Amino acid sequence: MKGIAIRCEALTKHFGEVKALVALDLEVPEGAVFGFLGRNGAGKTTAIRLLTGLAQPTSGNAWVAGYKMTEGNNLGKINLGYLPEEPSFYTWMTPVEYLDYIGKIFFIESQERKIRIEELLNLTSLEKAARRRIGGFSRGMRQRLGLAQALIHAPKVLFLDEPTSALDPAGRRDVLDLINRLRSETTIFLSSHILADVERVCDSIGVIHEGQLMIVEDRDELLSKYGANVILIELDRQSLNRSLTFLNKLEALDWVQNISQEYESIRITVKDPNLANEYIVSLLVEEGLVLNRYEWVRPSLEEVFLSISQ
Amino acid sequence: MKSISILLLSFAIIIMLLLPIALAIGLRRKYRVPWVYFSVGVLTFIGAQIVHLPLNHLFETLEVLPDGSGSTDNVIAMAAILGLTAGVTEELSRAAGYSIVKKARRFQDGIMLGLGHGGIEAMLVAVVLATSVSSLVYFSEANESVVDLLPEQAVAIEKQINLLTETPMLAVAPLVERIIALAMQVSLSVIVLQAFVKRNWLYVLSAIIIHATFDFVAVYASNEISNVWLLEGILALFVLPFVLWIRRQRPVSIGRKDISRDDNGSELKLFYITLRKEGLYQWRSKRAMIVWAVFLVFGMMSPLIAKFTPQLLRNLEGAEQIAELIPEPSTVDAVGQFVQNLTQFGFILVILLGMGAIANEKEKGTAAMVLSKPLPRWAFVVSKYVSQSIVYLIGFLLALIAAFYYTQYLFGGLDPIGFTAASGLLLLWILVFASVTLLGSAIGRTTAIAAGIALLGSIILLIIGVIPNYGALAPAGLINWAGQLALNENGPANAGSLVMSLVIITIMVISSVGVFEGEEL
Repeated sequence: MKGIAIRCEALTKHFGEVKALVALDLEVPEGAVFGFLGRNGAGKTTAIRLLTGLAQPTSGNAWVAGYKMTEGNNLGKINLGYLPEEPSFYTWMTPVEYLDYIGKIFFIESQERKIRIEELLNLTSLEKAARRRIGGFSRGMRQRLGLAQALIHAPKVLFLDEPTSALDPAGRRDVLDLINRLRSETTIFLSSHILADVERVCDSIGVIHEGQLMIVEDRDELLSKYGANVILIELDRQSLNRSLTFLNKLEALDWVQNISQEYESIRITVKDPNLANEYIVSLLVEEGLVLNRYEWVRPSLEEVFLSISQ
Repeated sequence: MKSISILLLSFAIIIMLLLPIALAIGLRRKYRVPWVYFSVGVLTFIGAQIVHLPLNHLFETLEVLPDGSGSTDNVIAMAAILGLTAGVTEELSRAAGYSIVKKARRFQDGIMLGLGHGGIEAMLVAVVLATSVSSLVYFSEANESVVDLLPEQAVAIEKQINLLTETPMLAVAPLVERIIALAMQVSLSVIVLQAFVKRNWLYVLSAIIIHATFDFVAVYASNEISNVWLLEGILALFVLPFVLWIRRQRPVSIGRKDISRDDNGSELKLFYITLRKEGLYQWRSKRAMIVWAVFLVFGMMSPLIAKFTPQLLRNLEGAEQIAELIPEPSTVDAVGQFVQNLTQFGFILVILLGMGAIANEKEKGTAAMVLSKPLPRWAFVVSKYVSQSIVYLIGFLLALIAAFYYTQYLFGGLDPIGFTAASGLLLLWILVFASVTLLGSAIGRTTAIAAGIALLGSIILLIIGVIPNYGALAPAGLINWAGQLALNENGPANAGSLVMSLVIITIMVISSVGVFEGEEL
């Protein structure tokens, strides 16, 4: 049986009046890639800072790889790697020097450190910049170096805070591929506001909203529940001004959860896809509306939130 | 005075300085108690004295407080009043400390607060003791005709010197007394803590009574009993039950295995690793070079300025008359320039170079990156202070060599040992300001705030230096002493200001660690 890599018990953090995190109860099994999904300011970073021992909770406790992280014990930090959203380095060092310094903190022997640094520079494609000052690095390079420093001691648990949000599509793909490769070696806790990224690599997902954990679910289950329940309709320009009755009729139905419209695209979140397929198509014909597009799509994060909170 | 008693007194002073720190380190390793509680203890003691001392003074002027001379009744009244004022102010101050620091509720937290409270008391006693040692040494060696003393003072000092010469072991008595007092202070801190844990204010009241009784016994007995060891024995017996109580109550240690990693020295090893990184930073950021260049220039320029200012003036049209008024420059002027340059510009340089040490890493996020690793925060903070100190030390050596060489060449008559010792004192003076800046950097969220706090703290220190009577004990006292030493002038040493500077540095560094440990990154 697999153990628990991350455990939070009623983990709570208030900043004055602001309740950044409210009684978070969470268990992430060893070896899982856990996606922590939420908007900016939902409490993702707060949770990670508490789990990595950088901040102290208002109440509650948290354990990482069996070590209690919420009482100022440095020892638990041996087991974790952490990549903040905007990793920041000593700009006067080179990547090799920085990684060497971090390696020393983990008491990695000199010979092993050398090998490990080379591996990591290869893994993150930083070989060419290995002896340049970090001061001149691009955001993407710093993100990759951030990953390298988080991995230097092959941690049992890896915390990645929005690892892809600052990257261009190629960089994003690289990071996601890297996470996929690490899957077997370590437990990964990945926070993001991008559903597509979380969907791609995570095998279980938690959704956090305004400091509250809304749901924790297996990825496949979550997707089957909320995955394909949105119909995207694009009306022809001429039909657009005749769409009002159509929308009003839809809104009156109890299996329609949400309707949003932006110019000619209309997104309809439904509870029962089969019923929706039958009814909506016939309604469109009835109203004589001309379609450019009719498609089942992945819900946006907003729509998942709305579905969950309803 | 026999050198053996000086040696013993110095030993006593050093132990008084180190014991509270050593105990606090031990406690911390055993129970992971936050350092900030030590600083809170320091503050509760200082806060209490701010009320306590003027209060005693007030009672004295109102003639409520007898002078303790004459009848036994007088002594009893004095001992009772002194005990009560100390008890009330210190215990209420402790209670105030606990009510502000709401997280300090564990038994071991109370001990840490007590070590800070009693620790700073012991350290300040060490300062006073050091002051009296320097004057004793001076007066026992000086020709009496040189020394300007009132007859009673001369008699008192002679009595003390004779006493110490006959029985050198008496020099250790103040240390024994301090150890007992420290045990009492720790006990009292734990007792006051119970008022908060058990929500019963009777504990504060009983702490006041115990404190007052202890002080009463100490004052009364010292009047009645002439044998110091008997007196200390009585006080030790008084404290013993409390110490035993603490021993019985003590919580289970978190265990060695839980603290260190592979070996016992792991935290020290981590300190050494960060120290090397900080050293590299001082070098790469050119900070070291700047400091060394500035100090080297000061060292060279000071004697040159002293020598050539009159000549420059003579060559200036219209300034010839002023030049005539300036006496022929001498070694005294060169040394004066040296001291002035190092102290006036040195402390600004120290603030400028030190203000960002921690604040900048907080601001940029580099601290959060490194401290999410198993690097203890104390190592992070202390390595910064030590690396700066090493840079300043090298800077001072350069300044010293340059100034000595030029002064000797231009004027002559400089004693190398005295001049080196003087530079050492000036370095210590600079390091005091570096420690204040470190605390500012630990408190401030940004470099600008850190600079403000550091400047404010430094100005307070400088102001304290000019307060009559007490000022000599402030770090500023080092400057005068350094001037004396450099010129081989006759005068009492100011060991008090030396010990005071060490105390301030220690408290500042501990408080920096304490403040930083509590911060969220």
